[in-house]
Amino acid sequence: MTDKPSDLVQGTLDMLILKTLALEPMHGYGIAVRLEQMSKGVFRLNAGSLFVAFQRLERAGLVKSEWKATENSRRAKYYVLTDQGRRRLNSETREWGRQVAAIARILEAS
Amino acid sequence: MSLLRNMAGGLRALLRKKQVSQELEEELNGFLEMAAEEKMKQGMSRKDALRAVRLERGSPETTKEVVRTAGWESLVEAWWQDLRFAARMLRKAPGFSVVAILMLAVGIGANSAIFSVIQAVSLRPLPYKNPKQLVLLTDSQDPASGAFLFKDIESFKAVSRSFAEIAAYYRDSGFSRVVLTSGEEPEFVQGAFVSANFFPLMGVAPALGRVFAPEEEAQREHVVVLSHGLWMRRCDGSLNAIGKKIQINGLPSQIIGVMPATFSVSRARPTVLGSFDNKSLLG
Repeated sequence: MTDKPSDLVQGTLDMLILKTLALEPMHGYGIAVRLEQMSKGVFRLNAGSLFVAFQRLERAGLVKSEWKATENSRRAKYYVLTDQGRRRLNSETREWGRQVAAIARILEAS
Repeated sequence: MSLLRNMAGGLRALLRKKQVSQELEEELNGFLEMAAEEKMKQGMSRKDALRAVRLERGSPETTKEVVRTAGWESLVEAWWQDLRFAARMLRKAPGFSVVAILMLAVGIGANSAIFSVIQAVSLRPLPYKNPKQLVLLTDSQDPASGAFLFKDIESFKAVSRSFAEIAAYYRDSGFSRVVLTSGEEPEFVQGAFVSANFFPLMGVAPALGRVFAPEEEAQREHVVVLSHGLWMRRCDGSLNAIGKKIQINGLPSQIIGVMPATFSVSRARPTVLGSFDNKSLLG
């Protein structure tokens, strides 16, 4: 991996956001920071992609949002995983595992 | 379910545009502020921190635009703006607008007029049984009136191998126009003669009563079938009309049936139908 932040594989951002929210409800910046930390800086997301994803997930009913105060007593919109979102995360994780294993098998074939 | 939610989200963005965009603004500002604070903790000045955040995360304007155009509702909005733009342009050049609108109106009108004619004449199936197998035979020497001699029709029937059945229909403006005199004032009506196999061939059943039986072609007794309109007018649509006598050209004829209101023969609607050999009926 280079030092430069990479582009995400198409369609995986939603899954990663759901994963972040599976631990606890979080606001947008918190999600971005956690994604960066967990990927050790590989994924650095701009606000546009994140906010579009939030809107998409919320409209799909996979997350809910509510305005709450942060620990620094700032008002922020917190996203909460819904039951449907949790189910989607499980199924997408399984599917992802299957695909990665398959790709690995192809790449490792000599 | 999720489609509905998606629609609801889009509608909310459309109808409560101000509130939704304010919320986005606040959320986005919070996001950028938090990112800047993080940098200030590492010793950057506020100005530098904000600048760095903009570079890293994208400018708020771009972000708002990206989010705003991500949902389906932005298409509706763009469409609405296009529409308003078009209306403005039309208002600016009224002369051109009037000409363009008139041209469209005339074009569309002419098109639909021609289409309705084509539809009526050739596209809509004839309201008879097996319309594809129906053929209208007329005299090629005289296609307008196109009449054959009755005995010719008889001989066609004898030699024809192309048609399952040949029925005859006769209608003109003299011979088959008759005077009705029963009770009230006399009335001129358009009549027509048909052979007994005409109705079975066309697959049209009477709305009331019956149609001609084959033996009635040769019978001296005069029997007629009325159109729906005439029945309503002269008999008040009474069910008892069947079997009653009606004076046609001064001679009594028995009403045996009434055709349905939709009945027509090549777009003409004869009001009285006599069976063929009853020509003597007309004197």
